[in-house]
Amino acid sequence: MSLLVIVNLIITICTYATAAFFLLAIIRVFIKTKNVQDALVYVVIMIPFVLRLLRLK
Amino acid sequence: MLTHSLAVLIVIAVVFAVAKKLRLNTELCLLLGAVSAVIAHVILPMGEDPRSVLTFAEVIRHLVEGTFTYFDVCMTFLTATFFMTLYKETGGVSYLVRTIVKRFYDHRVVCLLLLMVVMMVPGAVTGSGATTVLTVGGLVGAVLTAMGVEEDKRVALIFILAAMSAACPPINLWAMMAAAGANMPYTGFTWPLLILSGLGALFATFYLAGKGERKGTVDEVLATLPEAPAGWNLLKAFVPFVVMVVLILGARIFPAWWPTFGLPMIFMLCGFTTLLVSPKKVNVLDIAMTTVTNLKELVGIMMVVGVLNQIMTLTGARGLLSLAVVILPIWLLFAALWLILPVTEGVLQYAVAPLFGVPLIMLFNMLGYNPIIALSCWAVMWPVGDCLPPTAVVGRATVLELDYKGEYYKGFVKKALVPMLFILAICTLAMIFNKPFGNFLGV
Amino acid sequence: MKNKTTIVKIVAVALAVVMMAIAGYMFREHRTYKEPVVVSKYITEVKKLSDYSDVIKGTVNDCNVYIFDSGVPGGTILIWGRSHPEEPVGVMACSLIVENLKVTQGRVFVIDSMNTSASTNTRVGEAYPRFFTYDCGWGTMKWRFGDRAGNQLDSWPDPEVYIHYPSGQNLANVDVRNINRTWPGKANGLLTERTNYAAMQMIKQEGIDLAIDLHEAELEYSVENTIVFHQRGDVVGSMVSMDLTADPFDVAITCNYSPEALHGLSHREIGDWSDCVPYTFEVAEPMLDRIRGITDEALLMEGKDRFVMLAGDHKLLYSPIDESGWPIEKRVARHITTILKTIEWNNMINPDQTIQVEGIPSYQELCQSLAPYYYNPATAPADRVYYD
Repeated sequence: MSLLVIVNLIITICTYATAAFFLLAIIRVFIKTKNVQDALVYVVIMIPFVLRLLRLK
Repeated sequence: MLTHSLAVLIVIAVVFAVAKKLRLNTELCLLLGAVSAVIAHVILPMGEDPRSVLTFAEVIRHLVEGTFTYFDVCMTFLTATFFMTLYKETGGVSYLVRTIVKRFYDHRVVCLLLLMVVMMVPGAVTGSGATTVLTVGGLVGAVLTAMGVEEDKRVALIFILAAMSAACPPINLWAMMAAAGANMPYTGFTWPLLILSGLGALFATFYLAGKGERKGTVDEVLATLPEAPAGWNLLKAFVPFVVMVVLILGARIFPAWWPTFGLPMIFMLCGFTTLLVSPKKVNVLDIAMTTVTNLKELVGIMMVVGVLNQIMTLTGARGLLSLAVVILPIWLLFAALWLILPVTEGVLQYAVAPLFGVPLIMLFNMLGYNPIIALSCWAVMWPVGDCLPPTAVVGRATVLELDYKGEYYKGFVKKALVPMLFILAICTLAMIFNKPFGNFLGV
Repeated sequence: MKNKTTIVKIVAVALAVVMMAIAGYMFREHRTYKEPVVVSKYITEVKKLSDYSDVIKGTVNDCNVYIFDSGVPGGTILIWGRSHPEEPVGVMACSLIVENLKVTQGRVFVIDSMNTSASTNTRVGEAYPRFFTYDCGWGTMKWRFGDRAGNQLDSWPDPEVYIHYPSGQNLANVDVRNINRTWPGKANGLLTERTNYAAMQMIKQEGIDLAIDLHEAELEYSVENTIVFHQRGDVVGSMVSMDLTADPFDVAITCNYSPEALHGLSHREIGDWSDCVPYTFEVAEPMLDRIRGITDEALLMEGKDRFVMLAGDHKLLYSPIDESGWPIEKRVARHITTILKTIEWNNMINPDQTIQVEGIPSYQELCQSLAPYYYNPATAPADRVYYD
C-alpha cells in the first residue's frame, strides 16, 4: 500500500473520530437541555452521526 | 400528478403554519411538514400513471436518509465553528480586534475595511454566515458600538456582512451544490463571486457605518473590549490561519501528492494549532458543547430541510416547484429572481440551490447565457434571504449574538433593506449582462 | 416538568432508535445485496479487475471482468456499465450481453459494474428506490439502484476541491468519487481514482482497441441521445450515428466530439492516455430530471413523467418525450444496438480490429421485451453463476 493511501486512511479514521467527538458533544447537550423542543432537534441531529459511525450509511 | 404534488405542497404549508401557531420551533415545524407530506402522499391519489408501492419501511428509510443530505455541510459547520469558537475562547479574536482598534481606530475608513475583512473570512472559508456571526460578530459589533454606529444599523451591518461572507469565495455552498447537481465543474466562480459579494459588503459597510460619533478615545474604547489573555502576539494570532491556508493551498500546489484532508479535518487541525499556540487552556469538550448549542438551529434546520427535500422529491412537490420556475418567461425571471431567490432561501435554506439552481442552470445554458456568471449572481442573492421567515437562520443568530432588543422586521431588517436591494440590483444587472461580464472576467 | 422533559427525551430516543434500526437494516441490505449473473456458455474466463493492478484488491470496486475470447485473431472491445449506478441501462445492457454473447472473432471484455461502490448507496436528497427489478417470467431480475458517486463508507472525506490528476483541472469536490471524472486514474489516489487506474492498466495490458461507456442523461441536459467520441473515433462514431438515425431508431442518435478542455471523462482520457478509442453512449432517462414528478421505480423503468412532458411542451428539453415515455426496453435496446453497430462500422473501417459476435437480439426484439434474455440463476449450472 502506498504512503499516500495509508495517510488518507489515517485521515479517514480521524474524520470518524471527529464525528464521534461531536456525537458525544451532542449527546451531552441533549442530556443537559431542559427545553423539550431543543431535545427533539438534538435527536434528529444525532441520527446521521450514529448511522455513519455504525457504517450503515 | 399535478394535483397530487400541489396537494402535498399545500399540506406542507398548512401543517407548518399550524405548528408555528402552536409555538413549535422552525425545525420541528418543517419536520412535521415533511412527515405530513409523506402521509398525504400515501393517502392521496397519485395520478393516471402506474406507480410503485411505497412500504412503511421505505417511508422510514426516506425520512432517515434525508438527514444525510447536508451531513457533510453540517460537519463543516461544526468543525469550522469549533475552530473559530476555540480561537475566540482562547482570546485570539479579542487580540486581533484590539490590535485593529489600537492601530486604526483614528482612521475610520481603514478600521471599517479591516473589520469588514475580519467579518468576511469565517464565512468565506466555511460557507456559513452563521459561523461568521457566532465567531466574530459579537466583537465586531462591540467595535462598531464604540465607533458610534446606532444599534439597528449595527445589527443590519453584521447580518449583511455575514451573508456576504457566506457568498464570498472560496466556499460558496449554493454555487457548489447547484454546480454539482448540474454536472458543472466548480471552476471560474472565484472572481464573479468575489466582485459581487465584495461590492455588497463594501456598500453595506459604508452605507450603514460610514458615519457615526465616536464614543471616546482609543483607550476608552479598548477598555470596553475584553482583554486578550497575556501571551498572545501577532505571530501566534496568525498561525492557525497560516495552517489553514497551507492545508488548502497545498492541495492546489501539490495535487498529486497532497493527502485528502477534507474541510472538517482542516478545521480540526486549525483548532489543534490554536490549542498549541494559545496561552490560555480550555476544555475542548466544553467548547464542542458550546459549538453544538450555538449551531443547534443551523444544523437542525439543515438536517430537517434535508428530510423535507427528500420527501418533496419523493412526492413530486420539488419537481413542481422547479418546473414552475423554469417555465416562466425569461424576462419575468430576470425581473423576479431578485425576489424569488431570497424568499425561497428563507423557506428552504441551502436546499434551494439544487431545487432551483439546477433547472435554472439548465435553462440558462439552453438559452446560451453564461451559466457561471448567472449561478454566481444567484449564489450572492440567496444569502440575502437568510433573515427572512420561516428559517431566518443568520438573522436570528445575529439578533442573539448582539443581544438585540429592537424589533426584528421594523428595526434591523428595515435598516438592512437598502444594502440588500443594492446587492440584489447589482446581481440582477450582472445576470442580465452575463455575457459581457463573463467576457470581461474571462469565464 | 423535569419528569415530562425526561419522558419526552426517552420516547424521542426510543423512536429514533427504532427508525435508525429499520433504516439501518435497509441501508445494509442495499449495500450487501449481490446481483446474480448467469454467464453465457461461450464465456472464456471471468477475472477480477485487481488481476490487472492490485491497487484495488480487497475493495468493493474489485469487480468481475467477463472475457469472451474467440481464439481467432481480431480486435478487442471493452464494454462497461454502471459508471453511474443511477443510470440502470448500463448494468442491464451489460448483464444481457454477458448472459447471451457468443464471440466468433476477436475478444469482448464486459464489466457490468464499474463503480460498485456507488451502487451500494442511494443518492441523498433524491428519494431514489434502493432496487429496480425486471419481470422475466421465471421470476424477477433485481439490481441495486445507486448514486452517481461512490459510497462515502468507501471514501470519506471528500477533498475541499477536487483537482483532477494529471490535468490539474478543478472539479466539484464530490466528483472525486465520480468514476467518470477520475479517468485516467491514480495509483495512490482515493478508491475511485484507483479503480480508474486499474481499468487503464487492463486496457493497456490487454491491448483493448475500443472502449464503450454506457450512460443515461436527464432530458434537460444537452448531451442527450448521443455518441460522444474521442477524435480518433470520429469516423466510426459519425457513421454509427447516421446509420442508426436512418434505421431503426425513431429518435435520432447524434454525435459529439469529446471536448478537449474537459478532463476526467472516459471519452477524453482513455483516448489521450492509451491507444484505445473510447466512446460514450447516452440515452434519455426522465428519472434524472430535477423537474420530475413522483420518484419511484415505476418512473425509472417506464420513463413516463407528466412534469417532464410539460417542460417539453415549453421547449425546455433536449429530447422528445410523450405519453409512452422512455421505457427501459427501448433504452437498453438503443445501447445494445449502438454497440453492435459500432463493432460493425469499426470492422469496416479498421479491418485489423474485426470482432464478430452472435447471440444478441435485435433492436425490435429488445424493444418488445428483455425477459427472454435474462436467465434464472436458481436453475442455471452453479459454475455459470457469478455475482456482482
